[in-house]
Amino acid sequence: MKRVVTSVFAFIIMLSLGTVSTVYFDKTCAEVQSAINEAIRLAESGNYENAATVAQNAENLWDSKKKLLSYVVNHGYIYEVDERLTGLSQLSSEEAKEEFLSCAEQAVQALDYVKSDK
Amino acid sequence: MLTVIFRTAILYLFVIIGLRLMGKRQIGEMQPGELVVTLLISEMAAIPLQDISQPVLLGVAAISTLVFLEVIFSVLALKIPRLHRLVSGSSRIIIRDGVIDQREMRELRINIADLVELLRDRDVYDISTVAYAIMETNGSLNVLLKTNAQTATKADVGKSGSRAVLPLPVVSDGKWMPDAMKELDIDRRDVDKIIKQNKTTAEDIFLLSVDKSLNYTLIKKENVG
Repeated sequence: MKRVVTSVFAFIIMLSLGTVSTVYFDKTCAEVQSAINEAIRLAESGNYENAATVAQNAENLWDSKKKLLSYVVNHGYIYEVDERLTGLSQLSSEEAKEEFLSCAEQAVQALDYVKSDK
Repeated sequence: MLTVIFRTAILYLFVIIGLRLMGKRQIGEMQPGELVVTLLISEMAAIPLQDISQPVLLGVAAISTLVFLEVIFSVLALKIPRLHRLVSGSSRIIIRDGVIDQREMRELRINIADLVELLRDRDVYDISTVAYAIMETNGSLNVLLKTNAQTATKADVGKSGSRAVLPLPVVSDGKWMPDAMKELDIDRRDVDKIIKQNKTTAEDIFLLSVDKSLNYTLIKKENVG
């Protein structure tokens, strides 16, 4: 009976952890994606200063949550989002507009991969 | 490097706990389902070890789920015989009264060489002496010999034997085993007397096993270097 209780207990912990982590990274990815989409919208309308601020916020938000996510998400995906987001805000200018938009869209796609890894 | 060591330690612990929760059996005694789960557990543990981009928690979650399913299935199989038959199959009689059931052998896909080998493993060299040979679900063969081929027991020859006694190690490699003394219902002073009689100390004893009647076997440590 002890074995049954222990294994059921371990399974319930894992199930709860799985459920909580799914909700958590769905929420995190949605928040970061929404911030990047907002940055894209601002950059497309020529408001590069605000786009840079929003992109920086998205990067900060990701940085604050990625450590916890790395416990449950493939580190490769985390690294990929990292690569796209790092320095995104510095690209927000008339000259680097295309590069900014491309990087931002890739970051959104990378976040979709993260979401699919739950 | 440190990450790998840390991950390995975590997964090692979980594999050991998982296998202990499943119950201890030798590989050869496992039911087919248990063997599959054991192989899957080792495979699940290997994934985060080989690929460090995989979170270690995924391996732990997979192992927990496998152990949970295995334990729940085994509990249900205890309660529901039909489920037990479905998961583990059922024992088959392949020799009755010295006659091989060839149909059963074909169904079990055992050839005569395998059967003879399994019988030899049971110290049976003549099929005609077998009353029943039963192929168990874990692949082992149990044999009941015909009465005239069985070894006579004390009861057969009308002798009554003394009660079987179980000696337990009370000092092992210089260390006291209090659980064994409790099991034997003997006092440490009784054991001390034995040690004194042999002019030694507990630290110098390699093995001291004692039964309830205080019959004992004492092996002193050797000076090996």
